Amino acid sequence: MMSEAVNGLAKKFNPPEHYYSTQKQEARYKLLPFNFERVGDSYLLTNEVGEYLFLSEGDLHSLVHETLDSQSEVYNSLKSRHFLYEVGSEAAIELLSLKLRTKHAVFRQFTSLHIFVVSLRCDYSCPYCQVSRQTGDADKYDMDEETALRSLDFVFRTPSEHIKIEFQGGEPLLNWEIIKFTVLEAEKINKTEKRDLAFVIATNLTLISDEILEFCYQHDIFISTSLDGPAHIHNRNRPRPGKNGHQIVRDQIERVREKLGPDRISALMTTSELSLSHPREIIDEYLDANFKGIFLRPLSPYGFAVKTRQIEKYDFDRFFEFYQESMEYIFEINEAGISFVEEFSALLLRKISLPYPTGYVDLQSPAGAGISAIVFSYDGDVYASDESRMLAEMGDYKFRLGNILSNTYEEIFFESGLLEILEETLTDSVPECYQCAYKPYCGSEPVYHYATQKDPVGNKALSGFCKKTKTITNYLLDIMENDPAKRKILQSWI
Amino acid sequence: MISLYSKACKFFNWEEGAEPLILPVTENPNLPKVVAKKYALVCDRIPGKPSESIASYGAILSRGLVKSPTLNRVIQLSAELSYIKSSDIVRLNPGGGEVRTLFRSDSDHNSILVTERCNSFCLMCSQPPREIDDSYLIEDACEVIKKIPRSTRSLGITGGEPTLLGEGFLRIVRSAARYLPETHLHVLTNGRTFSQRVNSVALKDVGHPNLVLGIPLYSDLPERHDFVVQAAGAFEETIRGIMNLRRDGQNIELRVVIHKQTYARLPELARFIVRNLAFVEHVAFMGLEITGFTKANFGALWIDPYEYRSELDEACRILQSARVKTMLYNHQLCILTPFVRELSVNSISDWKNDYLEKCAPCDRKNDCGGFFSTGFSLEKTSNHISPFISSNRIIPFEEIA
Amino acid sequence: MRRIKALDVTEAFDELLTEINLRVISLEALKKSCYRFSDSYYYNLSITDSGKTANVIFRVPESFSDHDKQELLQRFNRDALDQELREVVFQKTETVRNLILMNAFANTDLVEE
Repeated sequence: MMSEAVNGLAKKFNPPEHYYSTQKQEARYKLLPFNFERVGDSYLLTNEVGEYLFLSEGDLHSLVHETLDSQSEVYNSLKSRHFLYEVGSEAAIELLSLKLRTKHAVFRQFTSLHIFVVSLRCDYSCPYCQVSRQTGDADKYDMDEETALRSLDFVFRTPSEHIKIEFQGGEPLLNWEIIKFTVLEAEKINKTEKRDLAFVIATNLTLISDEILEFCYQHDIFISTSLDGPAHIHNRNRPRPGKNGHQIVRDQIERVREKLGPDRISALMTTSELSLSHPREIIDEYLDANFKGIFLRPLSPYGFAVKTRQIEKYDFDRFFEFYQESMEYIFEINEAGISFVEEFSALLLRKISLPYPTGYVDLQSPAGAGISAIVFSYDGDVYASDESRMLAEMGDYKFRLGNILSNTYEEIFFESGLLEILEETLTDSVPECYQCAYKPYCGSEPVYHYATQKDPVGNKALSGFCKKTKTITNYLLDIMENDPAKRKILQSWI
Repeated sequence: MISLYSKACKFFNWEEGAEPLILPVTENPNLPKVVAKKYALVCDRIPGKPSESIASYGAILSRGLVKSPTLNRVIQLSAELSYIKSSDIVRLNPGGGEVRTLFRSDSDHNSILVTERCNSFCLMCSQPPREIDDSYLIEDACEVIKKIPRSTRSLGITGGEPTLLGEGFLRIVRSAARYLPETHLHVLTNGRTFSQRVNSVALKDVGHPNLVLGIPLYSDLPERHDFVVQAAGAFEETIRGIMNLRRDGQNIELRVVIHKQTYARLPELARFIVRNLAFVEHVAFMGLEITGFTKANFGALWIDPYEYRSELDEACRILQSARVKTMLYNHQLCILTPFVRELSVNSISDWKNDYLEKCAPCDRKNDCGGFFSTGFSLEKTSNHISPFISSNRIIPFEEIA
Repeated sequence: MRRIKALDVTEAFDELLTEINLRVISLEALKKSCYRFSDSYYYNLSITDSGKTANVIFRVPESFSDHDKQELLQRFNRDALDQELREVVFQKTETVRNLILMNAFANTDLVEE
């Protein structure tokens, strides 16, 4: 296209060739840093800031050996996406530096998500439970006021402008008094702090009352609940004395919406062995319950899931089949004019397409453990993440950072060994990851790798987490490149 | 279409060698003498026995025929300028017999031309550059700014390339900052002089509270952009200028004129903007105005906008999904895809706006920007213009998207 | 010069030997390739006496047909070549990479989000 003569130009105007740089005419360019990976018959190239391009093997070799034809479309795309630059073009380098800086800006905010495990008691007995709940009315599994207050002090030490406090359990509503107490205290402190403060309660909804809902309405609290699918799946995954958990959840979701508004409640699903065979039914359940999307995720290797051997029952390949079938159905729904989003795909797409950090703590390097999200347990122990607490339940205290009642903020961050682990697991520095084409879309996940391989770095060739990022990224990029109709749908999710 | 300039006005009883002057207009014949001399009085006709107070006005403009006036400094306005009214601002040049409207109180789109010099030579320039000494425009600009009503919502600074005025440019922005602090100032510039950091810092130091710089970017590839603006190294300078401006806290709007030389890589440009320049206030896609250089380069530039509707659609989707605010100007609604129609702004400057005959029955005329009336813009239009008529419109299946 | 040999052994596993010319594929690249295959196969990597070639022995199931073995070796060779290319890219871009990192994280006055 470049060498086409431009007809219709008045005499005093120069043709396009006049503006090719002289270096270009001699075909001289230099490489900018990038990684690549074979995908099918071609190669996926990515750079530090997440730009990507598919290249044939021949073009890749020409590119690297600096013999690529500077008149070609491939050359233009590579130049535009900053995989090569022409000498004299400092703008490209300046832009790359700015982009890199932008992507890392999120880390300056430091910890923003603070999880309060206010009770380990629970009225359910889910086999896949990550939380390892204790049954009964043992008050020694509830958080008390002193712990809550000390935890709040800790929370407001963060430099982050946005603070989210999420109440979890067991079933957190079993310790409703402490939730109320913590919210009120946090708001008191925030009068002077003036941060953007948000609250979430992750609950199974059985204990929701008008009083609780009124309080949630007054204090702008969001609700997050579990909906695993239609009754036969939900109740099997999440057994409860009385066996009518599903109906309760559905009824209570409506009740919450009427009281707080339709956008104040979201649902998460957990994929179990049983779920894998019923993708369409599960999605139908979410549609029926008027949710605008669903978050598909594999079973995590923590807590009761390991004890009850759920995790061994299926591997990532089977989850990926489930994911694909779900996506097929979700595309059908979108094509019919109903906007319905798969949230994990949307997150990954944002990481792929946007220059901004996405703030999803599970896909981050350095890992989000501690520095982006932190957990305060009912007994005052402080953990780097949800999963870290699971490990402790199984007897492994590697990611326990200290105790809020006996350690200071500085001790918890600087003397717990956390920062060393985060540094050692940076994807920029570890084998496999540092040259991986999927690195800009991935994270380091030290807790996962420690749990599965007893090594925070982990041999990525054996890692299900690694496989997930690569497989789903390939799936999404294939659509973005080759399926215009589905691409439009994905774009609307970003 | 409204004319802003006329050489057909008749000047009566002006001093020999009178300098051009800039005056706000009033229809009130009873202003105190001290104030009246700073105004031009406009009236339908000169009264037979003019009062003393009328004689004090800085100039007297008559919409009607003038015969042997006794008053001094009288002008018979040509028919095309008879719209001039209170709160407008005019420039009167007795030496050249010229009247120019510099500011129209009715309009949302007032702009001050500060120079015709430019360091680019865009293929589609609607204000072709002239290498002349028009530095008098700097003074004029500062003067007119002092007279513009403070309640004015927005004001444009255009050229040529305004920043070529160096210190003069800063003076103009400073005038606007001091005299019109609530007025949104929109400067059209190619941004190239800001590739030198010192210029960007100087602009920051002026401290205008409400400033946006509208900077054109025509391609993700340096050589394509340079070709469109006919200046080697322009892309490089513009990008570095934008980055300096961002460092110094300025608001930037990117402007893209779509024509045959820019439509093909529109999605790539959108992608480039999302990746590298997502911090801009918004991106404005603009249609071609068939005047100035566009006429000369017509064969190289004209493409029926209907033909690039899918490139435009893809580019808009890319920008929107990244939450980069996108707006489309100067395109008719009927030649756009439904997704892009939502982004269309009814906005050709009201003094340039017009419609075709076949547009008469269209349901959506009020939402639609219509056509440029300058140059040949009304003769050369898309082949696919068709009015929206709800009663008998069958929506083609492809449009339900 | 690469030799592809399949050695029969009496244990339940077969061994597959490939010899790599270290002038074509550097030891670094070779090690990385082996690491990648370690999820599926045990391997043994050694340098020959001449120092110019390396031997990689894969342990493969007895049930592996000749076609399977060929396919594995093809994949391995292709991967090793890719690794070698990565080394080249890394070397060529080291300087500019440092420049970009320096610019990105220096305490200049780039405006933050």
